[in-house]
Amino acid sequence: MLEQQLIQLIFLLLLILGGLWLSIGYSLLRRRYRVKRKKQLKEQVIQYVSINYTKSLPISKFVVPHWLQGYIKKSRDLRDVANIIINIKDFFITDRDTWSFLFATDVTVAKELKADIKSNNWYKKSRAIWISYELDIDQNLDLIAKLNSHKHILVRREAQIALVRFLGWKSLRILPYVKFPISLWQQIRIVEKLHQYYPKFDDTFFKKAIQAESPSSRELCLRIIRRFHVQNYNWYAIQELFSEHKYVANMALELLDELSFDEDDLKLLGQHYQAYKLRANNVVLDQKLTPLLQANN
Amino acid sequence: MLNQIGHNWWDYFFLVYGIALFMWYFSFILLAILAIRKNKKRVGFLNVKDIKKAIDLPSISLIAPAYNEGKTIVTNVRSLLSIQYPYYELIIVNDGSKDDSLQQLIDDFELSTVPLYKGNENIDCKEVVGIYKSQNPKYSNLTVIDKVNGGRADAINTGISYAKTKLILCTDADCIIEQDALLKMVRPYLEQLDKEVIACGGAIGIANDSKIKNGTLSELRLPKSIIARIQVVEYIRSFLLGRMAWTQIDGLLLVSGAFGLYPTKRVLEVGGLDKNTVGEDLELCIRLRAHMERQKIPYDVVYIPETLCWTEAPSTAKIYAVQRDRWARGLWETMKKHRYLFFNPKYRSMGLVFFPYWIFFELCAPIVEFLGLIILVIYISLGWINLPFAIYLFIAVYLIGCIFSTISILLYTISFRHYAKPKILIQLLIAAYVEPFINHPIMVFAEIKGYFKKIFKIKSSWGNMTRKGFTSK
Repeated sequence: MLEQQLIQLIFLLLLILGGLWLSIGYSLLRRRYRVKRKKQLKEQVIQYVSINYTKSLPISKFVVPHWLQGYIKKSRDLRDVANIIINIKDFFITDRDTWSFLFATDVTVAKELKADIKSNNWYKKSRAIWISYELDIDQNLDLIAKLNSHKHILVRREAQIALVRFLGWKSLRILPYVKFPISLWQQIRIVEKLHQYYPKFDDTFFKKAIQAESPSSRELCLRIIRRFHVQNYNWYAIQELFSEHKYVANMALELLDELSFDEDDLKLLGQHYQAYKLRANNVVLDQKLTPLLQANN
Repeated sequence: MLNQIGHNWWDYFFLVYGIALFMWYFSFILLAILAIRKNKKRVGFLNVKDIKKAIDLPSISLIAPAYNEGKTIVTNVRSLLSIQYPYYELIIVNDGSKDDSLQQLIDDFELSTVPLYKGNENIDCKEVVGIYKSQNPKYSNLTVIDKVNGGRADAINTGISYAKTKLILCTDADCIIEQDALLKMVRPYLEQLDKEVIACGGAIGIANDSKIKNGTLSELRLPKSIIARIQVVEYIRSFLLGRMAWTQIDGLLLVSGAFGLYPTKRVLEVGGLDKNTVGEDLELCIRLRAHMERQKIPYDVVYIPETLCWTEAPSTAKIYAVQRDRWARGLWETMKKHRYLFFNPKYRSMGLVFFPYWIFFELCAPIVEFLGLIILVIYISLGWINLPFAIYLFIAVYLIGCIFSTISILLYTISFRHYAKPKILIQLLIAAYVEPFINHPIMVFAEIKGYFKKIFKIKSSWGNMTRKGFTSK
């Protein structure tokens, strides 16, 4: 009886094994098809871009070709097209830093993206936001802006980056209102995107950003000061040096080496330091500040 | 029905143990699938290109101990120096090599001695004989420390004590590391918010007989030796199913010694690697976790499923047995040292689930299997066995094993491109199906030998791991 059951089990297991072999075969074929299709798409996109890029037509004159329309109507293919364009961006050296001529005129893409941004699926949302800022499609900016404090970390991260990409320094206005902590990864991305697309420091909006109270936003402000070599915010760095949040204080300490202080700064530093010593003791801070203050006495 | 299965209580014990083990493995598959799906979706938004030029990345010390690696040391150091990461220092610790490793390094990298200075005194390690830095600005991030021989853990501890960075990456001088490995490994540290990352491990691949060009893997091939080829399947199964599954439930207790990234501060707090065990990687990870549990600080141990480090696997039965003997001793020593964790509610899931799993199904599995074999032989000689039933049972168990291995290979094929050719996949599947008859018996024998040495206190060292070395083509 039991032997019979075991034989049945063996057949079932063999069936499962056979199913797995078929799945491996299918996954190989699927991969081969996808690779071939991607290669074909890449060639078509490169050819299209290289032909049209040399034409100095106004954006409104560009019409997305029929074959490309077919691709961008499918969400997955649209991601592939976006990936290809992002990858080839670096190889076309030109004074035009935007690729919107490919898509800006076509409402289909923005429409597709809008539907995904509104979707309840976090992955679709984040991917649509990513495509929007990588391809300079800003038609859905209002929708994206609302997602900067979304409960899903990847959605809000992509939304924040999109705001930085589209609005530049102006996007920093939201820092005092950001509800969730900003990870170091995200801080680095924000700083690097600003540096890449908006290399000129803008005091107007930074003034608003430094009003943020959350430790990670303050840490981000310190990173901006460092990346853009901003000199007129020494007082902010000095103030954060004595922050009760160790990450903020550590960041300010790292920044210290890169700032040059005038007499007023040193006076302020001395005052803060004296007040701090009354309530806490920090050996690393002592080692760093004592020689600096003594040398300037 | 049960009457047909066994005569004694131990028959039921083996049955229950076997079922429990299969249930665990089945859960691993489900958890690993969830973890792989989650990782695949997330990784699309974690492009290392975004941070490549950043100035805010944490600095990393890459610590590679070397003992008698003269054959390949120069090529490997060149490979380690070409990694893409803006802020890293490479510390090669020459652990009292008897060959000309040090002289080769001095000649090739224009090294000269710098005045001896003491490293961090929190870590105890053997005497340092010399510290070397390069005269050539091209190699300014290279430091070679020459020390008295003290074993791998001691050599890594020496490196840690001289590291000046926020993170340390422990590896081996004979490993080939992917160019963007550090950028990928550092990601969890940049992403941490409410939990502190205390260790991050990456998948390790086997590169025997592959093509190496300029210190990087240019063409991945399957090993020619069947012993090494079977280990490819073993690694895929262990890394993709085992570790991904544990990651999904925050239960990872092991970060491989060949490729693990740790915060320097935490490693110094626990006093570095334990020199008294040959399983120093597992021991460090468990000690770090226990340390964080005691401090009540939320923490995370992260595993990155991409293969970022390539190594040479033992290609003969003898060397394979030596390696598994050592791993078994390391496991025994670590479990014994941390036995206070066993069902200890103070350590939450780690004490109640993860550590007991390691005791029951990692430490005890070879013992149960070995005892099962003895009982089988006794039963056959006493004529107590229903032979057709035993054969059917064996076939069923064998097929279940084959299914687990095939699922691992399928998941690997879907997730990664390394073994995506039909011919290679067929070879891998065949290797998986012959594993129970070739590598597995050797492994069980080596593990029992390792435990025997521990029980009877037979002194044994690291074991001689002769390697062919990667050859550049």
